[in-house]
Amino acid sequence: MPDFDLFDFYRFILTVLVASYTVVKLACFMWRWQSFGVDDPRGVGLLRRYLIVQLLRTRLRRFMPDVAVIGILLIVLLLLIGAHWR
Amino acid sequence: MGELTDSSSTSLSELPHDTLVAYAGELGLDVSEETPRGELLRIIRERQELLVGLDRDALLDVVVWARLPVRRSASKETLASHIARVNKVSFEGLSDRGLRALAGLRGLEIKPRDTRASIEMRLRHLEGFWPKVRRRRRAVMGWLIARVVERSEEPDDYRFLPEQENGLSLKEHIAESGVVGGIAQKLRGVADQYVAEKLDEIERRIDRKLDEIDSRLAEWRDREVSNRLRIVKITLLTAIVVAAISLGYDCVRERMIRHQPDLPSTTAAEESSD
Repeated sequence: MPDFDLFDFYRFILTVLVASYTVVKLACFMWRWQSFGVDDPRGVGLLRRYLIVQLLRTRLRRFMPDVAVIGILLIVLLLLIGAHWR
Repeated sequence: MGELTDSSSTSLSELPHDTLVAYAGELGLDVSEETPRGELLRIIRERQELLVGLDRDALLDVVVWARLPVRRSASKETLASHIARVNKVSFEGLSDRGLRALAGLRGLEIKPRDTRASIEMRLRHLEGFWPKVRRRRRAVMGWLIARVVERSEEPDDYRFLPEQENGLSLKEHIAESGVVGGIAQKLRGVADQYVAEKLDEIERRIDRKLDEIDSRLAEWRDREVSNRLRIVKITLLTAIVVAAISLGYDCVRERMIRHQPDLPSTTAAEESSD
């Protein structure tokens, strides 16, 4: 009888589903923004420029604590994933 | 400070130190509060002498080349103070006399036999290494952002700022157009002025409203960025919890597998003792 592990199967299915969902969502997001960045009607162009200016005016220092926490969490996650292969 | 243009050296030396520093700044000179008074007076006089010697049209050429917002009737001092803030080192479109005037204002001694190429080279050498690096970095950034934000359009022809109009007095109006015509013109002028003031007021209100909308949008943007970052944090925490459970499961399973071969031997030992 083959060695079947329910938890391994669950992990595999979860990985496939989450990866597919992420890829599809990311592709939709990038396609939407790409079309927004290329569209030429005057209103869209104006909005695009305004958004770019707003983006450039964002003060990154204000979000530094959040970004630092995200960085730490990311490192912890990578260590945990790395520990699976040891 | 414009009245200082024709001031004698005596009146200049009587001025307080901070006024002299401010005046030097208006002349486009780079001085600080720590500059000794004698030195300050000397460089101000030198700059005044230089301005007297410079051709006004040459300064206007520089203004047009650098597209500075000034009136055609601006004094030499005003032109010099505007030109002093220009750091461009690409002299394309600048006339020869303009180039010589610019070199003079940047402190170079220009002789009549100096060629255009040599003056341009000397002006470029005036720029230090780091300012050059900064300028190039800004140029690249400007090119990138302008590509996204602006369309590639040819710049319009340069235009000087409109001159300030001094309204004629009632006496001059009547002298020009007669009693009725003069009074009518004067009244029309007053009405125009009133309308202009009202339009300015409306413009100011619109500007205030736009600023308010802008600040609200900025708040919304910051809130949105914070929310997105919070979602990323929650997602990462969930992923960490799942990864920890998975790792725990792996450890437990590994330990169980390691202990499994021992199980038959222990049971055999128990059976033999019985």
